[in-house]
Amino acid sequence: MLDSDISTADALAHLSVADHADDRASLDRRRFLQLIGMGLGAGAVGSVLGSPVLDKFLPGYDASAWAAGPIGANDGILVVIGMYGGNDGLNMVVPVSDPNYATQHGSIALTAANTLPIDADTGLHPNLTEIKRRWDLGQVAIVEGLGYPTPDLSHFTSMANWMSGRPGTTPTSGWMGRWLDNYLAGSRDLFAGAAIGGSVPLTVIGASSVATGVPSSKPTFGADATEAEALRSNAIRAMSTSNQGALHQAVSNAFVDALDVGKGLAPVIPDPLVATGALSKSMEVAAHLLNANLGFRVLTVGWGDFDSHASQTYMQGQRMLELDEGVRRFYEVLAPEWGNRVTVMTFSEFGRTSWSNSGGGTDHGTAAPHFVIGPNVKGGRYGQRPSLANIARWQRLQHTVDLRSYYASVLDGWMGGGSSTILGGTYENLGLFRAGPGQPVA
Amino acid sequence: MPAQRDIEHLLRRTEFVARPARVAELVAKPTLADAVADILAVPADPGTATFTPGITDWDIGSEYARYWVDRMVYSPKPMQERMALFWHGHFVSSRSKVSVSLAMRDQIDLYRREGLTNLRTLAKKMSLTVAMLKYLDNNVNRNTSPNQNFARELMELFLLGVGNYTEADVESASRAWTGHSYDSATYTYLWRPTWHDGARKSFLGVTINRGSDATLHGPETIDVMMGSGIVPSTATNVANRGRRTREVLAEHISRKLWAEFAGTTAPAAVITAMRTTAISSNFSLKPWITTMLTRPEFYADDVRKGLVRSPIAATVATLATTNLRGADISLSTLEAAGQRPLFPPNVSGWRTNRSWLNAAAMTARASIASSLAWKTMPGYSTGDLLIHLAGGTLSRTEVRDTYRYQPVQLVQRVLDLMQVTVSPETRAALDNYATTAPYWDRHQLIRLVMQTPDLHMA
Repeated sequence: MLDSDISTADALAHLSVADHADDRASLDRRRFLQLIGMGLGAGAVGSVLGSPVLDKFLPGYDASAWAAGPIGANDGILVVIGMYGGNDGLNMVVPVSDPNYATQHGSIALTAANTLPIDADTGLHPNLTEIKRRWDLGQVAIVEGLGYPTPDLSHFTSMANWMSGRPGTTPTSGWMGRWLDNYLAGSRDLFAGAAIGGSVPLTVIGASSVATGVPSSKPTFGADATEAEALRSNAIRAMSTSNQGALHQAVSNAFVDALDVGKGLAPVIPDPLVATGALSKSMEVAAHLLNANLGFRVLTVGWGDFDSHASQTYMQGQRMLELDEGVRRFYEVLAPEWGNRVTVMTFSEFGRTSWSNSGGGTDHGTAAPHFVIGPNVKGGRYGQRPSLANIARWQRLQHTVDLRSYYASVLDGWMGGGSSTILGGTYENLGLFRAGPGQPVA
Repeated sequence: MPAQRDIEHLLRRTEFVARPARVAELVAKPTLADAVADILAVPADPGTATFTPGITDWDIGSEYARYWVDRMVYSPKPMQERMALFWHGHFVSSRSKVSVSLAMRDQIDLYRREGLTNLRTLAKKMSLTVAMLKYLDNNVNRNTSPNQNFARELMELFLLGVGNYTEADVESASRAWTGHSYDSATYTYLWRPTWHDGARKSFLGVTINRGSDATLHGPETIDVMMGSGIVPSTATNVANRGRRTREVLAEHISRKLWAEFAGTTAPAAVITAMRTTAISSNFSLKPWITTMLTRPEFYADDVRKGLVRSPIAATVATLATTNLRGADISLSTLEAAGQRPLFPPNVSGWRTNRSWLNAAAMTARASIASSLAWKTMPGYSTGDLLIHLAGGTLSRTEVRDTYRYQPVQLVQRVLDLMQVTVSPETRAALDNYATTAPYWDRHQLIRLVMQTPDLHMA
C-alpha cells in the first residue's frame, strides 16, 4: 500500500480510472433510443439513421429490452458527494455541550453561540445555512460516528475502504459500481451513472459497468450544433471497426462515447452555468442531468481540499460554505417533480483528530458524521456520537456505525435493495427514509 | 535489410512517429539491430530550455513543458525524450507538491541526459534531486523522526516491486537516507550531517552504513538492491523469497519497460532475456533496451496492435503532422486528456494504455485536434490561403477547385502531407466525408485526420 503521507489528490487520482471503452458487444439502451430518436431529441435521427453504426448494431437486438424508456416513477436516484481530504466532522456537526470537545479542539473549537443549533447538544457549522433550513423541514438525516473496523490513516487506503464499501479488502470495484452492475446486468449504458466534473472515482466503477465521466460544463464535441459538425461526427462514428484489433476499436469507441455524451448532454446543460464554484457547478450540472430524465440513477461529485493540517478554521469554513452552496444550487435547479426521487449523501475518507495541533489544524482521524438529504429522508440524528472522554493526544475516535450500514440503509431504503450482495454481508438498515422514491410523504 | 513495416512500428514506439524520411534512413541499415543502435545513439547533452526573463515560476513550468513537448517532436533523436517521459512517469515527482518548476526542470533534464545510460547512476542521482527530496519528503527524514515515504517507494514502486522486502528493510533504508535534504531558500541540495542516522543496520540481508562517508549510506541501499541483497524469507511475495534482489529488480524494470513500449503483458522469455542482459551489463540501459527492441515478440501482431498513445504522445504525433511547435499546445487541455507534463497524478505515475480511454478524455483529445488543426491554417481565409502541414502546404485553391470533383484524391493528398497512414476503414470514412461535405468545408479533413483512432494508436 502507498504510504500514509501520500496526498489526498494523489490518493484520489489513484482511485480514479478511465471508464474503459470496452469492446461493446451490443448497443446500449440509451444509444438505441437515441439512434431511433426516442431518447434524446429527434434532431439526431436524420443524420444517424442509415449510418454504418446503426446497421452494425441493430440486427439481433431485442427491442423489448429498451421499451421501458426513461426511468420509472419509483426509481430512486442517488447523488454522492465526496469530501476529499478528510473532513473534520466535529466542526461540521458540533457537540457543543461536550466540554471535552472544547478542550481537545482548543483554539479551533466552535462555541454553541457560533453554530446553528439543532438540539441541546448539537450545532451545525455556521456556514451550513441551507442544510440547517432543510434540517428544520425534517429533510436531513445526520448519521453519527461513521467509520469501519481497524481504521487506516492513509488517505489512499481509507478512501479505498469508503469507495469500495468493503473495508479491508483490495479494492477492485466501488459500492455504487456494483449497484450499476446489478442494475444494468451486463448491458452498457452511458446514461445510467455519471461522475461529474473530474475523473471517475472508484465509487462508481463496477466489475462490468462504469459511470460516465461528464464535464461540469456544456460539451461541444458531439453536440452537432451545425450540419458540418454532424458530418464530422458521423465520419468519426464510421471509423469504428473490429478489424484493427480490440484496442483500436476501444479507441474509436471512446471517441464515439465522447460524441454520444456531447450529443446527449449538450442540449440539457446551459452555457454558461449560474454556479461558479467547483462543487456548485457539478451540482448544477447534476440537477440538469436529472431534469432531462436521461436515465441517470447515480451521480457522483466531489471536491476538496479538506486535509486541514493547519489553519483549519478558514479552510474548513470555505469547504462548508461550498457544500452548503452546492446543495442550495442543486435544489434551485432540480425540477420540483424530481424532488422526492432524489437523495443526496456525503462521505469523506475519514474524520480528524479530536485534539487540534499547534498549527491550528487537525490530523488524520477516524469516525465522523455525514448527511443524507432529501424530501423523503426522515430527518433526525442516527447512530451514536463517538465519545470524547479519555481521548489522549494521538488517540482516535471509536466509530459507532459501520459505513456498510450507512450504505445498506441507502441501498435498501432508496435504491431498490441488494445491499447484502453489494456489501458482502448483512448490515443494519438505519431506516433513514419516510417514504420510498416517488412516494408522497404523509 | 529490416522490413519497412518493422521499422515503422519500431519508430512509432521509440521516436513517437515514423516519418517517411526517417523510415527510409533506417530501412537502409543492414540489420534491425543497426536500426535500434541508431535510435539509441543519442547526444550526451540534449540541451535545455531558456525562459522568458522575469516570468513566474508557474510560467517557467509551462514554458518548460512546451519546450519538452517540442523536443519530442523535433529532436533528431526523439528516443532521448521518449525515455525521459518514461522515467518521468516512473521515478515520479509532480510540480503539484514540489511547487518549484526549476526543480522539476532539473529532474527531467537529468532523465533526458541520463535516461539511456545506467540505471544505477540514474537512480542515485534521481534520489538526490530537489524535486524528489521534496516530493517524497526525504527532506524531513531525520534520525529523530524518520519519514519512510521515499525509502518505501524506492523499493515498492521504483526498483524492487511490492512484497519483495519487509517493513524492517523499509525502516533500515529510511534511516540510511536520513540527512539528504535541500536548502529551502535556494532550492539546492543540502547535506544535513546532524540529521543522519549512521548506525549500521541490516538491509535485505546485508549490513549497511559501514562506510565512513555518511552521504553514501543512502545510495548504498541502491547498490545492495542491485548487488548482493536477498529477498527476505518473510517477504510477502513468496515466489521471490531467497532470490537475489538484483534479479527481482531487473525483472521489475523490464516489465515496466515492456508495458511502456510494447503495451502487452510481457512474455516470460522476454523478461528472462531482458533480466539477463541487465545484470550482465551491470544495469546499463542501452543493451537492456536493445534486447527488448530486438526480440521477435516485440514485432508480434498483439504488440503491433497493443498500445494506445498517451495524451502527450498523441499530441506529439499530432504536431508531427503539421508545422506547429510545442508552444502551440494547450497544457490545460492536455491535463483534461489525462496527462500534463510535470504533473503525474501520483507516485505510481500514469496508468497507461487502455486506462487513457474515457469519454471525457477523448473530448479533450478532440479539442486538442481542433485547436491544432485550426492553427495550421491561420491565413486560410484572408492571408496566405494555405494549410501548413508536415510535408508542405495545401492551398485553398487546391482544396476548393483542383480537387473539387476528386474528393478521394484530396484525402490522399492530405494524408501524404500529414505523413499519416490509416486503416482501410478509417480511409473509407474519410473518403465518405470528403465526398459528402461541401467543397468549401473540406479543409476540416485536417481536424478529422487528427481525430482518427489511427492517430491515437502507437
